[in-house]
Amino acid sequence: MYSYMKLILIATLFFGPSFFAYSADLGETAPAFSLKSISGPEPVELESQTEKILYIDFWASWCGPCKLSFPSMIKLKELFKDDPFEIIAISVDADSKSAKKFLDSYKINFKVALDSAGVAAEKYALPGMPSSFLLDQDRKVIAKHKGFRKSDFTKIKEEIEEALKRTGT
Amino acid sequence: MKLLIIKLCFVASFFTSGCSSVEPWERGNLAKPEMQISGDAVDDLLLEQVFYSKEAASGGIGAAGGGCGCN
Repeated sequence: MYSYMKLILIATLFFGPSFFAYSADLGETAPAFSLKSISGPEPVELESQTEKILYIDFWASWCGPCKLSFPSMIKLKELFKDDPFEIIAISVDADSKSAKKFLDSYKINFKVALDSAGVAAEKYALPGMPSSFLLDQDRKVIAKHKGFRKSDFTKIKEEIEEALKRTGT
Repeated sequence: MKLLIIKLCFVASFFTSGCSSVEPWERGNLAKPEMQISGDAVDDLLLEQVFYSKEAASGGIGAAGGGCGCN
């Protein structure tokens, strides 16, 4: 009995914090957020993005694969510009200067927010950097991606097309 | 009494847990070039080349992704 209790105690010491973790798993409603915008004056809020398929991408200027994902996201936004589709790129950079310097290299055509404190990142329990989430019109998570490779573009594009088909657009 | 102490420790462990991991979004400082264990990237490549040749294997050193937990 005591050995069993000891085992639980040790397990709790190691894994305790993870019991309280948030998540944005497939099929679940994505956690709400309201963040400062880098791309415009208005704050970026999930709540205000109604009736749209949303692609939320968490990135950072220090993350190598994020440099690959940005051209793809620009292309995706361009491809679906006439559809109810929006991209929100959330930077987890500690300072906005690094994020802005990174953005200077690209012609951004979507919303970019800053999450320096990692509040939204924690809510979404990011498995790695970058991480992205595709949400349907009801803000349910319909796809999620860890990391980014060039080959992911086609898969994400197909997922968006499928999501748009389901909405009847 | 012993059981009570164990139970108290169990409850206390929820609030005193000392082990925590660095989350993927908190690795900005770890990803900086100055955080590399060795200072010279070219020197590292040479050492890796020698190591791979000796071991007849590759991919044994480090991990991909530059500390961002992505790949």
